[in-house]
Amino acid sequence: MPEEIPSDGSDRSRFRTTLIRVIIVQVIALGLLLLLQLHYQL
Amino acid sequence: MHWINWLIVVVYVVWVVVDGIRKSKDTDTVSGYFLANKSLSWWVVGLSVMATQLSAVTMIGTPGQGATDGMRFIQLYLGLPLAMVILGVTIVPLLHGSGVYTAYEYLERRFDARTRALTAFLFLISRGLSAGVIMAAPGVVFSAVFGIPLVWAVALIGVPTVIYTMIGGVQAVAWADVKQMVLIVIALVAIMIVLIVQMPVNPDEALRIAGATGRLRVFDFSFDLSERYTFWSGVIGGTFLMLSYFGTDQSQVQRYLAAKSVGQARSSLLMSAYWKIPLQALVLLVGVGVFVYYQFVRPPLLYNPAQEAAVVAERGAAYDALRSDYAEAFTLRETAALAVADASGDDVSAAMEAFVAREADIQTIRGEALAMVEDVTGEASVDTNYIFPRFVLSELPIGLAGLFIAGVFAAAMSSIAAELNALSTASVIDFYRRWMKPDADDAHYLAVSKGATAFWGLFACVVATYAATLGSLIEVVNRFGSFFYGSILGVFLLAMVPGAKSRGAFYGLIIGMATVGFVAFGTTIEYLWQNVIGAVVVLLVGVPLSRIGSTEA
Repeated sequence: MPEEIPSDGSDRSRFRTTLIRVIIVQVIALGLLLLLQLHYQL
Repeated sequence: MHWINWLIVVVYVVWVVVDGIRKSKDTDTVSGYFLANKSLSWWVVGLSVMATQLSAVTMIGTPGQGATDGMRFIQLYLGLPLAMVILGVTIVPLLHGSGVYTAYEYLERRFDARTRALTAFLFLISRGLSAGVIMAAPGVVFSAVFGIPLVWAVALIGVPTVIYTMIGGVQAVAWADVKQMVLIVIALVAIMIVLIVQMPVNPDEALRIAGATGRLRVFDFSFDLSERYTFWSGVIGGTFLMLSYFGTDQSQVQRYLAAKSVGQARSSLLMSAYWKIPLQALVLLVGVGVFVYYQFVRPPLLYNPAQEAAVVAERGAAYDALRSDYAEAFTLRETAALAVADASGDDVSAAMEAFVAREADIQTIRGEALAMVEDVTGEASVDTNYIFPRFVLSELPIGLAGLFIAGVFAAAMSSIAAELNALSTASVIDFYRRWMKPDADDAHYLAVSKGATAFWGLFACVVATYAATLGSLIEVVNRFGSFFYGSILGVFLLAMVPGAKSRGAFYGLIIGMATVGFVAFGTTIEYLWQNVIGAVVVLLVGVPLSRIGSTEA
């Protein structure tokens, strides 16, 4: 029998929470890099 | 190099090897040797995952890219955080919970033996070659910088690596990686501080100088498939590349299979999601800092000392004339750079434009010198990978240079060790135990595993001596993988499609790779997109093929 991907509610909820956290951290990091580009670019 | 620097290198390398072996426990079983009996903490696995990806290629080549091309290379990693999160809830629990040794073993359970054999074979070919390239990067640079034959440089890195990987298995690899990450971050931060202190301009002025030449241009929002690094290729192609690399490449999968639990494995990947982009930004910023530093301290006209010696021997007079032009152009550029630093208000744009013109003059002269190299040596006229090592050895204080060189050694060793360990695992588990000797005892498999590690170590050393002239090494490594990664990811994605069958997976994989081969050789579409194409083609072919009148599982 092929194994199925676990897809219960707790996994979905964990995914959503983690995704939001990672997005926030990356938006801050990439935002800083974009500011660097916009401020110092000729 | 000063003897104190050498001492630091030797002490560090010996410590990594000895401590790695000392920390290895229960390596007398296959599970202990390959998976550390699933005993590693999330932070050990997390640092190991990051360290494996942060190879000597990154330490040497990436600051050089930052110095010559600026920050835009970071776009390659834009898809990584999302990929890590997706893997954390899909492939990680799937593989960790299924009790497999390799990612490909899972494909036999889901599809069939031939799909497993083909994916494992592709892994062995692509990773075997890339282990050689990873070894070649520091080997070539050390050979040129220290004036030793390439074979010796490769052996210096390869022999200790093979020894501790053979003896300590995945645990020695993981603990060596932990030390490597700590050392690299310390070395990079220290170099950044030294750069800031030694530059005659303040950080704001330094960034203005870098920005004038476009080196702070991080994002390119154009949607051009033939442009290597853009925002879109990073977000879309990069996500597929990272999904493939971290989700299906045994050198990464094996790290998190060794974690204590699914939760710890997931947390280890999230460490990369949070820290990879900031760390990569630091590496590139150090390179940009080197570029600004060299506005005020004249760098060599050619960064590769071996190539410079060859040109001096063959074309001494012409090269001297070029050097004289270079010195003059450097003085003019230095004046222009200081003008940018001192300018204010409306004068800034004019000062920047004048500086850009002087920088173009320098690049023209450098272009002539590199063309001379190509004429004389017949070698590719790219010396990006020599910029940072030359800077470290000639400009950094004693001790810090040793720390950096030790970091490069450690980076090379830990990345290669991870590859060798994974290559050995796939060779033994997916081929030897599966097809040749399925019923032997643990001691037998362990002996064969150590032999396989030694074989792949030797193979990598041989490849390393030939990979020297393949151009910018960091991209060569990525390109090796891109040929197969997307299609293999496609097979794992297909595994998640209800009703997908082995026929769809096997032929989908072959057609996916053929398509990527056509795209790579027949079009100008850049390699990051090839991952997307490979994965999508496997799905487009695999799903309908699975549904065409078949009853096979």
